[in-house]
Amino acid sequence: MQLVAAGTAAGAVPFGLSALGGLPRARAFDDGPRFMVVIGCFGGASMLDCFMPVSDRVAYTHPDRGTVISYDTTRPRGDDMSCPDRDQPVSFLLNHGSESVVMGYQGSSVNHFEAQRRVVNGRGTFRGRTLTEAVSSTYGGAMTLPNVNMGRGGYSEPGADVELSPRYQAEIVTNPVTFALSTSGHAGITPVGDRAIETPDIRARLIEKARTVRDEELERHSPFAQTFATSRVRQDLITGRRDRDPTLESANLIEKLLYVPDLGDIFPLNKYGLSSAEEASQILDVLDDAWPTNTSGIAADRLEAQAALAYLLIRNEVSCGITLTEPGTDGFLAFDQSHVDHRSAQQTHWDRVLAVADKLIGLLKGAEYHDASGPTGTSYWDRTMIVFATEFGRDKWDKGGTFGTGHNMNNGLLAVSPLLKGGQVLGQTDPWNGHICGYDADTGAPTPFTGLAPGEDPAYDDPNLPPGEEQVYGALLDAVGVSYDGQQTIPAIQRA
Amino acid sequence: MRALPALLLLPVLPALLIGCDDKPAGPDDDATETTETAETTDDTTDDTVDETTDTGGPTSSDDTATATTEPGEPVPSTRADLRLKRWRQLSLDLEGALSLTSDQICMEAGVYDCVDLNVVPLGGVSVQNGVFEHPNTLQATSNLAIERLALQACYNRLILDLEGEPVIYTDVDLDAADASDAEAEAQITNLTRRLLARDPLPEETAALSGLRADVATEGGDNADWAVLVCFSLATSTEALTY
Repeated sequence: MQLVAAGTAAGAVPFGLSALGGLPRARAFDDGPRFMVVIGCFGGASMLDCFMPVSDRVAYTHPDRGTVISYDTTRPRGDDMSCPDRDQPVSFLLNHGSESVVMGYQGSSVNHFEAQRRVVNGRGTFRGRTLTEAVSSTYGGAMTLPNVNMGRGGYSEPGADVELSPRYQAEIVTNPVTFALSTSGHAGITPVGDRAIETPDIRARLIEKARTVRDEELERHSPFAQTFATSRVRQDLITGRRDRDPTLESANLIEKLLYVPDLGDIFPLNKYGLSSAEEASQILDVLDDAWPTNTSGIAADRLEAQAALAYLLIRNEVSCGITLTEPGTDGFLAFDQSHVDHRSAQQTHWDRVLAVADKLIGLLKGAEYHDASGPTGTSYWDRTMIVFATEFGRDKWDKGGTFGTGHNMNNGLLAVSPLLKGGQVLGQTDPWNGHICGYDADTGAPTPFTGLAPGEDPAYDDPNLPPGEEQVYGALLDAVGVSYDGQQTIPAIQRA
Repeated sequence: MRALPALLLLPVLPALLIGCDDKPAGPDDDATETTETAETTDDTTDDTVDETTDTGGPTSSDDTATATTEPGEPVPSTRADLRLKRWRQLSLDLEGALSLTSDQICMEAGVYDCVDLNVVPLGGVSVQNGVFEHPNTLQATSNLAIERLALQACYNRLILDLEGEPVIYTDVDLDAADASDAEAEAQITNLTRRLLARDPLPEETAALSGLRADVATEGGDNADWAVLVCFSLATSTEALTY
């Protein structure tokens, strides 16, 4: 695993950037934590098919290449933000456009996993830390699970900073429905019964006694333990028992993070002495497919399940860096179904991630943030950013068939947060070639391609291409108050 | 290499049989696994210096450590290159030690296989969820996931022993609230042999026996105590690593 991480760092700096640059600096916000939710748009989500579309009216048709992918577009807010004229992107812009920033960027890989890694680690610019590692290591010092990752593929891999405390490396969660169970060593482990070991409170006390015997007597006297006293694995186990396990259990996460109610034969919580979070019914009113409907234990909608857990992780200040991933209607390909049918795949998955994000935002807006002195009159959403990590773009040309839109490094991503100077689209899509151009980092003014004939793509070194992953990464972290040496940023998206 | 006493190999047999169960086997995987496991076993003995030399195992530093250790004391390993047993090794060890089948080890809420739910904290990968690499560090929930697995296995064995002819918890009257020291010692020895493949030290027996008082204070009986002994042993680092 370490070799993979190191390989990532090496591969992430092809243009001579230093993977070791970027020491953390003081954070900008000292009034409590900021939260970042990364939604991995697995498979490659194209901005041309959502918030940087080309209008049918101006799309260029090339005799050999086809027509630039285009839509019947609309500007629901009456400003520069446009989208295909269909329910979901329109709804999202109306609800959250004022807090949304769409940024063009030029990726550096069209390999799925490598592109996923690079979009979340900014090509290694901050010592190889991922966005969530950077945020959690800044704000998560007092949190029990600062960084939780429900992603997959490159979105779930750790960054490359070997000096990052393991505490800020992501806890991998494969099933949000049942994750809470793994935060206690004993709660809910037997049906409630008459025996001492079957009585939750008594069992808790007895297990503590047994742990004490194990850790203070067996681990001291055992010949094995004496022989391997210096083993790193053994030390990690013992350190975790001493420092981390009690924190997880005493925080009662097994209840706070359990958002499903007793589901009878599907999930008989009460029989096992378990109860769900106070907000469970509120969550399921909004994310109504976030729970399992059969004994597979898998939610009817896995992305909604991730959002439900994300909400509780933020609401309870358990985590400040959280990664979700669109699992796809087929459980795997998600946006990469574009290879089969570009338009329907992009539409289906964009609509899906936007709808779930909209619900998550709604929940966070309804949760008041309390600081040490009590209610603040602000919500958790006021200190949260959602980043739609898009991996890479797709081919720009519609050849008239339904098969064959491939990968393209030119794309953009969407970030939504009250912490951003929203209502902006940085970069423009050129209707002659479908490529997104760059922009002035200070003003956001586009820098259109010049000297290109209709149907001609910009060269890879065209000075008017948008910025790379490292600058977008730096700008997003800047907005949540994470700073590091050598940070590139985009002042145009920063709130005054 | 001279054959090692059978007892010494018992703790590592599951690992030898399984190897790296959830990653593709490389051409040297089996040899590597066997050599390292054998070294691990060698390090736990007082009389294997010649053998370790033969296997090319522990270095001269280990020999030095041996020279500075009092006779009869464990030899500190300078490599101490332990590996954490992953889900399959843990599960198979519990199956063997407690005479359980795989579906009797641990089911969350009686429905979901604990290993399936906690495969990543238990050191595995989850291809279905696109987690193709083992985490390079323990997950925050690893210890607790292991404890859940072991505790329920110990409890499930108890239920089976209460419902039928006892198989594992045979040395104490499970329905009684007290047991003689000899009975308790026999049960501890039985469980230690099953879970750690060795006899308990007197200090270990005393410590585990002492849990009886805690159980009594909580109104528990021998059955509750036996589960705690099983849990303590099954989650010791000796049981979890190889």
